[in-house]
Amino acid sequence: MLAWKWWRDCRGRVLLYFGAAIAIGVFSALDATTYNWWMDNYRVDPQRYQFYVFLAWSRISYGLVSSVLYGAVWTGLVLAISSAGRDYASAGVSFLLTRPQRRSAMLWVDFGFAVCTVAIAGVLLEGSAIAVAARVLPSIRTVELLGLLPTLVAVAAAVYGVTIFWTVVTRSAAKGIELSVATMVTVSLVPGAILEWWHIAWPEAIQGWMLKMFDWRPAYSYWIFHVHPRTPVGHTAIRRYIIYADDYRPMIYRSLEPYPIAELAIWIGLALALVYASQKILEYREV
Amino acid sequence: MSELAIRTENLVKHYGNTKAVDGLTMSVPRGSIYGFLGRNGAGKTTTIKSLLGLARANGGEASVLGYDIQREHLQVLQHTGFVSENKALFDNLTGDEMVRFNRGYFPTWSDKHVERYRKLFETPMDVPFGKLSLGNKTKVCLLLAMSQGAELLILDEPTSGLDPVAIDILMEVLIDDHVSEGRTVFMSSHQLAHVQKIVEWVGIIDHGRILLEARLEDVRQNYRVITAAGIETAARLSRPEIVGRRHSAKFWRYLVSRDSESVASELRQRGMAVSDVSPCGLEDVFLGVVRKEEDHAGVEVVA
Repeated sequence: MLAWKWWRDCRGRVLLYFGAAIAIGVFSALDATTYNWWMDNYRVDPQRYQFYVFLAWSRISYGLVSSVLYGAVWTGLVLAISSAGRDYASAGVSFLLTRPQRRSAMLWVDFGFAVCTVAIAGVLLEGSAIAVAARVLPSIRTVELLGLLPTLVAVAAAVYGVTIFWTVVTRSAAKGIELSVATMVTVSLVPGAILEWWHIAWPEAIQGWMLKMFDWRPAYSYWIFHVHPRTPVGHTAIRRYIIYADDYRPMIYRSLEPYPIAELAIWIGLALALVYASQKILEYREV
Repeated sequence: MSELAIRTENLVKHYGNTKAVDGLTMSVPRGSIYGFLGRNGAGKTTTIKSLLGLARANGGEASVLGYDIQREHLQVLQHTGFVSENKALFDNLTGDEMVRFNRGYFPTWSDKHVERYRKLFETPMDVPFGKLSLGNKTKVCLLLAMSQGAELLILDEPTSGLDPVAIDILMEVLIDDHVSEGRTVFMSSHQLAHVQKIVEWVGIIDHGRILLEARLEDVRQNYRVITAAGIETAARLSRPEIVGRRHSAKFWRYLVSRDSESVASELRQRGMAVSDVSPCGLEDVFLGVVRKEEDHAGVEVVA
């Protein structure tokens, strides 16, 4: 029943997200492969050609990262107030809470479907981008590109958690959205403000953890682009290499950061903790 | 199986310093129609919410159909149909979609009843709930609750927004489809005229306490209103039969639960001029109990 209701309430949005994911994936790939004809001129120079292929995939990755993060925040916000979130904040909550079912089931079913929606949208987004790009470009780094998917799910889940938490606490979907956005802005700005404006010298480990912890872009989003500062020639490395360098290979295959498993775990843990807290509030909720 | 559909014992529910339900003791026999009557803010809705787990009691005990309301909450909901005071469901769903959603929760659900009530009440089932008038919202809520095949129906102001024809049909359906099959109907209402047509038992609540709980037939047979004139010291007669006493400009009106002649005779002995001893309806009893001047008496159970 809850599953049916979730689908009834969210099907329009879900289909829209899936369609948008495919469209964004296809256009990201098309955009990045526009210069394929130009790259073809370098096929005689395998090293240089390989480098341009890498840049094209990086461009696709960048396009996906940008849309994935905003998309994750958006879907997390909207899905959190689309079905159960809206019902908990409405007068219809007394009807919902007098159906013979455990209150804990209500929130987790909703959360589970929201996460699945985001995951499927992510697969469609990346799958369509890879499918289109692979027809033009030699297939490199596609597995690494798929690594973006968990970050998408983790961010969406955390945003969902924050939004449903505030919605349940305030009993208002509008306030839930407002406070969720305020929370995201605050936790994004405060650690930076502490560090940059007030120059508060916290222990380095804590400071580093705070900045990472509250960074709404998981580190993996920058993964490929962290190549830049880690190269010996500094931030403008790619441009210089394109023009002057003879050997591109080291830049392409070195300096990759390890997959941010710990950080992802924190994000997912945060999401689960917030949904659990919301569930507990709901279990003791009086109407 | 418990003989009582609902039993509460000193049920207490506070909201901060406000005592919404204050030691409420009530017994609703199985298979009866029980009218739960009270003024606005008397504690009717809070009592119902406590029974259904929408509010948590601060003290006392309660069971519904023999299930403890705290420990066996899901069983209570499984066997109880409920229409809330505010008639709020999901605004974006139509009546048909609400049926689709609700059906799976109740093994005793009857689509035949859905069809029957849809026709009887002329319920618009294809319009989003949020766009319906209050009367039509009430009809959808009633249809959902009555199609569950529940052993107990708890109806909070079930006639809100209904026209006289729909109210009449509702009263018939409650008797024909529910009470005649041994099910219990517990309804809270302000509409005494409608209630007294069908209820067997009444419970009158004020300030969170049951002031009177009796079989309506006993009320009709035994309760009397005595009208008398006289000085206050003589009028302040205290007997257990006197359920309520009110004073207007010239007269004292006593609501007496039994032995009205004996009470009238004692009043005369005290120098009061008794002008009338008359049978009373539910409205007289309600007003006599709720508007009485003294502090509330304890629970009065006639039957």
